[in-house]
Amino acid sequence: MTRTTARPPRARLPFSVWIVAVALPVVVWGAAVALQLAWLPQLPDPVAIHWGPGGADGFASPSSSIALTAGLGVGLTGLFALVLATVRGASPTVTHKLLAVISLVTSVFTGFTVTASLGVQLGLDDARDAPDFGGWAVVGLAAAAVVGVIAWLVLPRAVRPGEEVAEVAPLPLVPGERSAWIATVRIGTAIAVVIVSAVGLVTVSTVAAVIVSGGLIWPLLLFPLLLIAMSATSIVWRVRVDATGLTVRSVPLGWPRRRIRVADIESVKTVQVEPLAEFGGWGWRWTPVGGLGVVARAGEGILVVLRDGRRFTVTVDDAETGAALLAGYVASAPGSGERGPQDGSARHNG
Amino acid sequence: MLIRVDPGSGVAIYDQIAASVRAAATRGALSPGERLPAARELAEALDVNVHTVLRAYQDLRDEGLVDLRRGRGAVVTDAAARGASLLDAVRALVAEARREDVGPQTLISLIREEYPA
Repeated sequence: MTRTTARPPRARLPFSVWIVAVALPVVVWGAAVALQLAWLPQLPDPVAIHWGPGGADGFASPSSSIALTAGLGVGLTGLFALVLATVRGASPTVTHKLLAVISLVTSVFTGFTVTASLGVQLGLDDARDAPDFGGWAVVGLAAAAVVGVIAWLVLPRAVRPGEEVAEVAPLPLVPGERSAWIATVRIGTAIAVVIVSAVGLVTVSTVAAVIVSGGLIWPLLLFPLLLIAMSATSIVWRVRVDATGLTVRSVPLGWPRRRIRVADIESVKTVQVEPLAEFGGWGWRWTPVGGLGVVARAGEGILVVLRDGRRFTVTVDDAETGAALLAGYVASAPGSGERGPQDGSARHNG
Repeated sequence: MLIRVDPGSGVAIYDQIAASVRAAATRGALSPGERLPAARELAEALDVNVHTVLRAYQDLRDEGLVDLRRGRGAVVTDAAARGASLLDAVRALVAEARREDVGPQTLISLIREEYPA
C-alpha cells in the first residue's frame, strides 16, 4: 500500500474561528441564562414552554427551563468545538466557517427566542395567560441572520480543502485491454462504534417512549428504522474500476450506488481525505465545494473530476492503483470518449 | 486488487487472471486471510464468463494459494506470503537482462532450463 501523499499535520485554526465558534456563543448563552436567572422571581411557576394554535399548551418549572438553556449552550457549543478541534490540513475551509457561523447563529436564535418566551411571561400569575410571542421568534431569526452574515464576512477567506491532491500516472493499457480493479472499504472501527451506539440509543429511547405512551406515538418508530437502514448502507463499500468506468456501491444491499462512465471523466487524482473538514462527516456526503463523497475513513482516496466540473471522491486503500487504471481507461478513450463496446459480442471463456 | 486481462495477448484469460493474483501475492499486495473479489463480480468487471474466473480460482486453489469455501469465496492462504523475498531478486534479474539486452522470451527460456517443471 503506497501512500500517495503524506497525511497533513494537525493544523491550527485561525483564532477568529474559535472566537466565532466558541467564545461568542458562550457569551450569548451565558447572557441568556443570566437574564433568565435575574427574571426568576417575577416568573410564574410553572412557565409556558410551548405554544399551540390556542395559546400556551406546554408548561414546566422555570428552573428546568433555565437548566435546559444552559444545557443546550454547553452541549451545542461543546459539540461544535469538538468537531473543529479535529481539523487537519489547510484551514479555514468553507465547512469550518459554516460550522463556526452555525454555532453562533444557533446560540443567538435559540438563546434569544427561549429568553423572549420567558420575558413575555414576566409578572404573570398564571402561565396559561402567556401571550403569543411569535413576533419575538421572527426578531430572533432576523438577529441571528444578521449576526451570521457579519460573522461570515469577518472570518478569513475560505481556502479550498483537498490541497493534498496528487496527479496520477495512467496505467499504460493495450487496445482492447479489459483489466479491472476491485477493492472493499470499511468504515473506521471508532466511527462504527459511535454510529452503532447512537442508533442503539435512539432506538431504545424511542421504543421506551412508545411503550410509555401506550403505543400512542408509534409512528415515531419509523425514525430509528430509517436510521438503522441509513447506517446499514454506510458501513462497507465495494469500489470497482473496469473498462466501463468507476462504480461504488454499498455492500451487501448494492444500494445506494454511484456509477461514473469513462466518457464522463475529465481527470482522475488521488487525495488525502479529512472527513470532517472536507465532507462534514462520514458516509454518503455532499458539499458544494467537495462534491459527492463516499467517505469511510480519513486517508487516501480516489478523486474523479467529471467533464461538467462535478467532483466525486471515494476513500479506499491502494487508491493509487485504482486511480491509475481508471486514468488509463480515460487516456485511451480520446476526445469525447465515443468508443463502441470493444468486441462486446465475443465473450471470452478462456 | 488489480486483475489485468488482455484478450488480444493469446494467453488464456483464466491464466491471465491467475497470474494477476499470483503477482499481487508476490508483491505483498495480498495478505493471508484476504478475500479475492467474488467470482460473479470479477467476471462482470472483466466482461468474461463467470466460469472463466472460477477456473482461475480453481487453478489457484490447486497451487495452494487460495482456499475455496462455499459461501466464503476464495480466501488467500499463508502460501501467499511465500516468495515475497524473490521479488527483489527478480527485479535485479530483469534489470540485468535489460542491461545485457536479453529479451523476455530468452530470459524465460533460461529460467525454464534452470527450473524445469
